[in-house]
Amino acid sequence: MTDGYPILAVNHLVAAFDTEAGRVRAVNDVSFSLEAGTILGLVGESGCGKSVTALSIMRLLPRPTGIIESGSIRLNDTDLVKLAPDQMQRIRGRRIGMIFQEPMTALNPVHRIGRQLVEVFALHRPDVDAGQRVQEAVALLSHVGIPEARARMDEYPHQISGGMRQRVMIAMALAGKPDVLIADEPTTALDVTIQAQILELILDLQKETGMAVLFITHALGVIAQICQDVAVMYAGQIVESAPVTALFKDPRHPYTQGLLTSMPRLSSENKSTLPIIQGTVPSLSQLPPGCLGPLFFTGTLGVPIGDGSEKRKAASCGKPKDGFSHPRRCAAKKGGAGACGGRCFANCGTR
Amino acid sequence: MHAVDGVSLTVGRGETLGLVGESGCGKTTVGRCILRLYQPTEGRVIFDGEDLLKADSKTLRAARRQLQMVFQDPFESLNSRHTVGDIIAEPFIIHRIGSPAERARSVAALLKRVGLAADAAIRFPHEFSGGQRQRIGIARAIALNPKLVVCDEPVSALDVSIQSQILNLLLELQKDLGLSYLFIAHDLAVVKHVSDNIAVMYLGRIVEYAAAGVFYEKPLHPYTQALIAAIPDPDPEKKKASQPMLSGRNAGAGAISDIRSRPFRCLPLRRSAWWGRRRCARKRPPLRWVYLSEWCKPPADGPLQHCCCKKPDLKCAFQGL
Repeated sequence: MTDGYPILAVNHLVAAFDTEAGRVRAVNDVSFSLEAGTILGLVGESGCGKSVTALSIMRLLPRPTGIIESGSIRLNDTDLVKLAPDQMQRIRGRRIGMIFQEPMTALNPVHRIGRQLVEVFALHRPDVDAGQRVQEAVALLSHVGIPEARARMDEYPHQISGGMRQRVMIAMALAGKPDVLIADEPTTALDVTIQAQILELILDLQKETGMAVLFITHALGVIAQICQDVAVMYAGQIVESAPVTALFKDPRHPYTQGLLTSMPRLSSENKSTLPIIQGTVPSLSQLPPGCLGPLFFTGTLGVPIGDGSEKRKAASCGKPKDGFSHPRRCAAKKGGAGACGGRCFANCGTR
Repeated sequence: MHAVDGVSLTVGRGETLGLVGESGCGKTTVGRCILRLYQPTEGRVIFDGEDLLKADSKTLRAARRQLQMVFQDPFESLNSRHTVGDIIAEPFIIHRIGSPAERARSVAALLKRVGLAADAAIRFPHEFSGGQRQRIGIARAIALNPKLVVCDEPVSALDVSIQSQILNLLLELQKDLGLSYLFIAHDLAVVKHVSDNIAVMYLGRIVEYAAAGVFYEKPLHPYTQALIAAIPDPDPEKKKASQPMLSGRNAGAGAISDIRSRPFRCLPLRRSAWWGRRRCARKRPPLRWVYLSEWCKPPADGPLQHCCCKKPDLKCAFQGL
């Protein structure tokens, strides 16, 4: 597999939920592409739609409330949105693997680890015959760094630690040898030292198999350490995307800038006042159509950046200025890399 | 099982002591023992010259006015059937302070103090976002003008952009009201930001104790070093080199997840091959003063640091002896 080939392309994806308050678009016109052999980070706060994006790709939105309204999700040349459920079943696990935030809830507590792993082989690896499945499963467990793998096969999920459970999850996701791995907050529930181990494992395996990884997280530090590209999601849309060094060095969207400056760092001065992003995340059901930029900063248009002395105005919709990149705008203008300063990973196509 | 074993720490007036460690290390238990929500089996908790563990219920009640707590989960720590006004007024009612009208005035002032609108008093917790709920929890904690607030993971359930708002509020309140904090968290960057001194806990013991500034520049204990090394740096140009003790495939073997598997005398013996499986110091290494530039000198002027190692570098008690 060669690097740089877009293996998964999400285009103008709209995923919505029918609620009592009417239809809410949790993912609103999201586009990005994932290249083979790379890791794309999808970063955002809770409720921004990053997990719904992942579930849409897997076609696992809760039914009947969750629906993909429009858009396409192309895996190589197949549009996943149009697939019948049984066809999709063959994609899941074999072509796209997924790991979840909480390995304890993702694993079945009443079955032994071995049985759950062997089941994956039975479902997704027809090339492995029944007699070999156990050996394959043991080999896979030791491959993801689980000591005494054979003994672990007979244990239940509650008998092993959180980090070990996440390794089991990774083993299960990799059993079908997928081309794409979706990792939805895989380290959020883990301690920092265990997180470091799991991140390194994912990096190792990614290099080894050449798979593409969509890494979903809210932790910018994790993004900086493992991703090549990063997309920042906010209120159901990608507000900024860029190669990781560019994004951290020169964030353009006021939201991204706010995220980066507001986090306490080891190097930050003790007990100093942190620059903050004013307001809170708007409710998706109350989102006016169109632009997110000014909307984010509820109550005030001026966003204090840096020490707060420098006030920058968030650009209003359709008027990108002051380094404000806007994928929606960009999407409207086909191939308009200029409009977003080459930062738009999503729709410009000419990055 | 000793969840917390021989922990000693001091919180100065108007200061913040950060207590940092991974899940299960006993940091929350320490916080709860201080408030005597748990009854420790041994030891002393001296608050303003009074041993709280020996105090009778009357003295304890009086002391608890001065000791408050902010909890991790702003969803579960507020009674969903009470209005926010009732929740914040509760400390006044328990300690029989003020008339209802005075309480209402205090509640309004407190809401304003933590950055909430006055009409919040008649609303219910579920109407607020996580960050706002944490503000309500903070308002309740500072209602009685406490001297010490134990903050148990106050921002770890919050989103990144809300975290900084709450941290700023806590710092501001400390400056204005002269509060002391015991700030318990697992996020070192957060702890470092708010603390004057930091204690690192591992498997029920404090392994290192130092001033916040010194701490990150020169961590002494191997566990502290590992903890700092494990933080993902939010700078893509500083990709971490692989950590020997954290290396992906092999590290699982040495991880201690359970306090019960703590080796009898020596602390991080089984953590990984890197720390060696050899016998550690036979006696529990005492916390001792360590002079930063020269190991094992008695305290003199200059930055001081506690470490439980005798010679806290890589050739320390953990590997040799």
